[in-house]
Amino acid sequence: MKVLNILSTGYRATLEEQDDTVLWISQAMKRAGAELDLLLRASTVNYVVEGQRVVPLSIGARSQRNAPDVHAQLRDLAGGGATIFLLREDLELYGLLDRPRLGEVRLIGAGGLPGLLSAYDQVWHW
Amino acid sequence: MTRTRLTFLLMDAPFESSRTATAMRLIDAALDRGIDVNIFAYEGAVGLPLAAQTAHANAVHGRDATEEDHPLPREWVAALRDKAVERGLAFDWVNCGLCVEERGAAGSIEGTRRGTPADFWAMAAASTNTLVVATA
Amino acid sequence: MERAEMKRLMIVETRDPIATPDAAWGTGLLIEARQAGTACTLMLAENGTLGARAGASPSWLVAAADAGIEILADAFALAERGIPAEQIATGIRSAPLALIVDRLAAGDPVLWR
Repeated sequence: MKVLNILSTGYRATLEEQDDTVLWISQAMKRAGAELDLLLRASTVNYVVEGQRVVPLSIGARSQRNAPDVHAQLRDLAGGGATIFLLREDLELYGLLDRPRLGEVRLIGAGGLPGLLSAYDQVWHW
Repeated sequence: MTRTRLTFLLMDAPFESSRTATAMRLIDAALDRGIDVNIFAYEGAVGLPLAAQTAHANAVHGRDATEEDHPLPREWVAALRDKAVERGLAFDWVNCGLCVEERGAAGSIEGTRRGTPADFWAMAAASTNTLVVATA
Repeated sequence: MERAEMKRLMIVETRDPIATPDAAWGTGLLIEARQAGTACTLMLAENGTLGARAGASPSWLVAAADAGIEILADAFALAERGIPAEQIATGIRSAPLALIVDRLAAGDPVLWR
């Protein structure tokens, strides 16, 4: 079975979870042998931007040492064989077309989405 | 004849979103149609089958606890589980184990179990289809 | 990676279509898929049904109906919000939520938003 995970909500509880939980479950499933690819759209297109840095978070005396790194999560998924698709229109909408970004991604236009969805056994939207 | 099986992934914590009730309606409808169901509770959804949920009175409504008859998600989960058993259908409710731990949300009702993302993948792979109901 | 073309596609929109500009993305995808030959359905549920009331439908919802997208609204959520049949906008029909289960059981992709 091959699944396409469509991600539309970025930075969901990332500071509490130290990662993006949808990328995390994708990573965990990949390690269990899952065949899945990702389509990033809306705020999640920002995940490919280089130079993201989480300022150490301190709440009272509680400091968090390990910050989330959504960019590295994507790189890990790509390294594990997942294809990362990026919606071209959203990249433009968020002013990111010319920004340095993760190299291991494939741009796809809105017109290509029906064909993309057809290529998978199941499509999940998060 | 091959049986139909659907997997649902739920993500919302109880009492926070309309999605919980809507998802329960969908699972109920699936059982009505003789469909086997898997549910993977991810993140806040692991709170849905918590056995410690307690119905309360509601002074604003002017009703005591009995009159108020406050719905509890654990009762919905139990009702779906029981309906599946009555109809000879599969009902496999899996709570994401790490999500349970980070929330201190151990103590789910009978008929639910702990699992991992690998279980979710296995459920989905063995199903006709999967519906992910993620938080907004 | 080639598989059979998608025969049907359903998107469930649960968010308020008036307050949520991103809700338009789903209908954009449905219109693209419709043009590619896929039968497409938009199911409004929860606050998504607020866009079903005549006079309240955002322009992209009207455009979707004009493009041949089947637009349904969960009867339960319509009643919950006091939207009777006679107040539903042209091109939108009341339907049982369970239709989502039928589509899932048929193997159709269903995206929940």
